Amino acid sequence: MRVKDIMTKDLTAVKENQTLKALIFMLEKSELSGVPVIDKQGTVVGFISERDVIQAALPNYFEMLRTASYLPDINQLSRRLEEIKEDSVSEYMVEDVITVNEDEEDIHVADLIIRNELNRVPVVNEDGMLTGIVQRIDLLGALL
Amino acid sequence: MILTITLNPAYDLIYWVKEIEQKGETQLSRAFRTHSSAGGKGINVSIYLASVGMENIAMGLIGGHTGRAIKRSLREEGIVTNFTWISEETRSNVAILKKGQEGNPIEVNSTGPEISERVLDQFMDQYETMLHRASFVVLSGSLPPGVPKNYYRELADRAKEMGIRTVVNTGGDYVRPAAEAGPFLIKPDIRERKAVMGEELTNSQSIVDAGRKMLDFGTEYVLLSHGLTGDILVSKDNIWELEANREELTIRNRVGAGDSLIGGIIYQIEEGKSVPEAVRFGLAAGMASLEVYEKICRDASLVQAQLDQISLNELGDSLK
Repeated sequence: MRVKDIMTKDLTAVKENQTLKALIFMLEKSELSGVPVIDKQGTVVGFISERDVIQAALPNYFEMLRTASYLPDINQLSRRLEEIKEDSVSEYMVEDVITVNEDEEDIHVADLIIRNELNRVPVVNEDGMLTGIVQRIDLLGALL
Repeated sequence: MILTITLNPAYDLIYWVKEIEQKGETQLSRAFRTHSSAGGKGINVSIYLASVGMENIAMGLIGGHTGRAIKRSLREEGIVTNFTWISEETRSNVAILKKGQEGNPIEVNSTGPEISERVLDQFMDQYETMLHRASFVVLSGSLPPGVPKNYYRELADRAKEMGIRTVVNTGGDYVRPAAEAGPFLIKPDIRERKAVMGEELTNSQSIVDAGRKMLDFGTEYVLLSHGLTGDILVSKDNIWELEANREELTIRNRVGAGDSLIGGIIYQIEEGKSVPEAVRFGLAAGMASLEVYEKICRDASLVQAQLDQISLNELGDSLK
């Protein structure tokens, strides 16, 4: 099977100049954990997830500890989110985004998802424009 | 790629009942058939286009459980989605069709949630991005509270600036501003009131006069319904009258028929047909959808059977 046969044809994305506040609203309402970042023409330029936002809001040493149990006060996280909520998505997105083409084999995208521990992979056309998304669940559904 | 815009989508619930009557006390009617699906005029056009294998993008404003249900439903139809999320719940619309009177349904439509300026800015941003891959834009249905009456004009203007043709299917106060943008085709929705641009639509001449008023703004074609089975198409230099055969028509569901008409027109124009021939096909698609319980008729043979019975008469520049 090819990517176009299993992908979700949803173009939900965020622009690179949009704020983290707008991103959090979109992720919360759409119940997505992450979305591609696109430019004005719809070309994929990055990917941002709720994990990236949490990392941006936590002090650096928490990433090393990999736990929030040392966080002295939840208000610290809240205050930090308040400080960065108007920042652009482009400041915190992953720029080196992994994408696949609609005509690629599903085994290729499965390999990418497993090796890179990805939840979602943007699908792009020959111009790099977003045409859909492959989620882990899409792959599992196709394999059944 | 075709872009359909539904700013006030709905989850449609259709019930067929044997009896329904208000007798002054609580009445319980049991539906012998039900149908539920993503709805709103633009979304119905998307469903029609997907049914004929035409890839399209559905855009609009959605929120809450019904919003997610709409998105899921469209995904199952193979439609590309790009919605703008709102905090409020998307509306549900109800149609009750009494056995034997399916041609006159009871329809209860919510007005829809209040839309903020922030949401409209977000939508416009997404719309402008999607215009880069659009060949046709369909602006269809009512506008929810908070959306300016001239919003369709803004959307049609942006499309026109990029050389993209627009089809508008809306009613009431939204018609005139949309016409002022000079779209490719307007089909005014006259279900609530049989009047357009101040003209009461009482006969063929008044329909042509109303159409001409819209052409004065730069609209290329105006399509107006003339009863359930007939349409009049008006351009700057010509008038076409289309008439279907009502005698052999069994109405099962009127919801979505007008949207099948719009979808059929766009499908045929994209296939290279002339506008009058495309309208003839659209009328056949609309008539066929009247005959099925689903909103959209997916049976090409039923559409062809209707097409064979629709006359298309070119009348020149006047009715006489």
